[in-house]
Amino acid sequence: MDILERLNLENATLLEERRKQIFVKLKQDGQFDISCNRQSAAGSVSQRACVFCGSRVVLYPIADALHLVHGPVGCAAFTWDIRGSLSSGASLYRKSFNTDLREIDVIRGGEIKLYDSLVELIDKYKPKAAFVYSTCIVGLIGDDVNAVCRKVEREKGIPVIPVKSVGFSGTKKDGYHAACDSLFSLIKAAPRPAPVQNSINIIGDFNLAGEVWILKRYFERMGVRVIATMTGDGRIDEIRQSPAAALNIVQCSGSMGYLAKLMQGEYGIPFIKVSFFGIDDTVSALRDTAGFFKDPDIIENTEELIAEETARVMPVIKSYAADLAGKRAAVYTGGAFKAFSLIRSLELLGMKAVVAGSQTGDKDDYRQMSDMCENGSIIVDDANTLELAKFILEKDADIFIGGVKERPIAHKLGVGFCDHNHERKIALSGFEGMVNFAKEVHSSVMSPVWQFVPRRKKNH
Amino acid sequence: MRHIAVYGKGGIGKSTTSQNMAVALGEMGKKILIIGCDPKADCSRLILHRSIDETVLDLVRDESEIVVDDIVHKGAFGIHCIESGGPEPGVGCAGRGIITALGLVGQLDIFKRDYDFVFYDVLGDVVCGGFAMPIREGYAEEIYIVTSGEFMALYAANNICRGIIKFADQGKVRLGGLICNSRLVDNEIELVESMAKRLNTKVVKFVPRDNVVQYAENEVKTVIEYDSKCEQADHYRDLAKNICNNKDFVIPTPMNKKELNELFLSFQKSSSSAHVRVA
Repeated sequence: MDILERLNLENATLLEERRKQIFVKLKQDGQFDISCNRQSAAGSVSQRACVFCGSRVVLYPIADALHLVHGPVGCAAFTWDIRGSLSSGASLYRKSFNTDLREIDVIRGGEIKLYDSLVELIDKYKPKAAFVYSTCIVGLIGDDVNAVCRKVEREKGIPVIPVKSVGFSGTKKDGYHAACDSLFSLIKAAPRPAPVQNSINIIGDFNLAGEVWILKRYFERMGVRVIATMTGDGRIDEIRQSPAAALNIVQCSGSMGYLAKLMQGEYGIPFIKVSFFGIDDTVSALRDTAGFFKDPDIIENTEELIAEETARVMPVIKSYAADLAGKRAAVYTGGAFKAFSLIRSLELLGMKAVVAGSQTGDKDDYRQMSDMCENGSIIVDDANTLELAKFILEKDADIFIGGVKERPIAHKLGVGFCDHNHERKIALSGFEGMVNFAKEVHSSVMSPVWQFVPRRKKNH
Repeated sequence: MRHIAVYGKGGIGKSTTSQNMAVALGEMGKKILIIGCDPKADCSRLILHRSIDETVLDLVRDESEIVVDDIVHKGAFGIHCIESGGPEPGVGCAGRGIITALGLVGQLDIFKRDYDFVFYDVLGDVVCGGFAMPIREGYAEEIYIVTSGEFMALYAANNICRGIIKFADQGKVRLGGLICNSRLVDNEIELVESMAKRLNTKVVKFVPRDNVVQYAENEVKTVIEYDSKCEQADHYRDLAKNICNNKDFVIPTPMNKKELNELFLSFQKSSSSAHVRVA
């Protein structure tokens, strides 16, 4: 019995509670409605994660900070090195420290262990700052993590920042929110630095496969100074200098847009949303940034950069696009913003998205997604594995673009896959990123192996 | 705004005393908020003249969007009441319930309103981290312990002081004093005053035992509402005044079991009954 028979997808039905979270686009400008932004339905194996996971993935790339998970060892072990964030130097962030709360600690309270762990680790590693993540257990027994952090901060003279990341206390988005609050308290505690001309902070890029470095090269070329990168290749001192910037550019607004809002409220620093996935997005992002400064030199440098890079990459992309014309893709991401970028990039390759969705999008996001897709496309919020499998087969997608949890679905169904996940090893940002993306998609879709998989055999 | 937590042995009269005191303060024109931190949700009955169904945790359970007006109930003398609520006996985790409920209250900007006093009425046995939530940073800064002259009540008061030290060390919370709810114990006033002194604090008010408190409760009222001119009503007014004027806030100095036992025994009248075994 092959996997398709085993899955028995023909007879699979939708969970009743999930009905409103799936929208099938039947015609352009037709009625649109979708239910979203809610807790996952119990029994539907969502691709989402908990509050703690949300906080961890945002903060973990800060390379020279101590990251201590206060709780049982599982939470720390399963988030160890959870992202593919690279560092240009410090590597303390790659150690997943943990207070190893056990039964007796749950009964007696874990504050003493937390205090001792912090002291031991700070003495040993001398970090610039420490983040202390709360987990489910800690939320239950009522450890006053804030108080312990304050105490250690007084004694050791470095910022010791609690992260309100109790797993059961909300959704992954609440985890992002908590991470931003913690970062902001770090920023606020420092004396306000003097403003620096023509400078930005890059917010919401986690330096996967070195993508932040790609962006920094562009900005250097343009004549724009980057004060802090949050949080990819992040450094505590730079982050504390971030209020010196004139502008915040926000890539992953789903996870870190809130921080940009906080900085605007406190320091008056404006922010723009940008995307560096795909040619159009990259060009807009560079132009929007340059346009903010209204400096003729910067603007000229930017146009030169764009012209050069576009001339360099477009022929390569076109050659891949020639083979890919008319092919169909399924796209499922964490935040909706990235899905837009992917759909646009796919268009450049002559492909169309027939299934599109995200874990955390809101209604406006999905409306926009629906507008970008063709009639007959399926839009889905907070999908489970069975739904994704069924939709992909129904729409006969040639490739599935998603994250680490989506890869097995694709390969088991005999469908090509492109990893756009936070563990990816290939840079997908900027001009060279688009070339990499085209190459990845091309080699996956065009691989001769798919003619031998059960799905295709059935259709022949 | 003064944030005051009221602790004490279960059944000693915390809720009764808090509510009667609140009404006396309300009578003085003060704006009061009472936050019940007890899963029994019975900290505001006498002021609202009924038991309420809409505790904070009831609304969390129903997954409704929580709006301030849903959880703040208005009672006698314009006093506002919030009940945290919690699980049924024998299930779940009441401590986490308090953490969640108080967290929500903080998030809803309720403390941005201009109350003169916010009272946290806390379950008797502070058995886990959650029940100490009211004395964490951002909540109560003063604590009053309700006791009587009975040994177990004093034992509990002493124990609570040990807990207070930890929070006083790492935050602003301090002990404001003891409130003695008389149980007609021999030499009660002297005993409790001596106890207070040994704990580095004082007795803020000695409240005599009077059945009018029960009569008022039977009608689901506080004493001042039941019989404004009676002597007991004036005692509560006196307590309210003392709380208003109190400026002595200390870190308590609790004693060990042996010392507590000896102190207690030294005030007992007859030798045959003066034998209290310490567990």
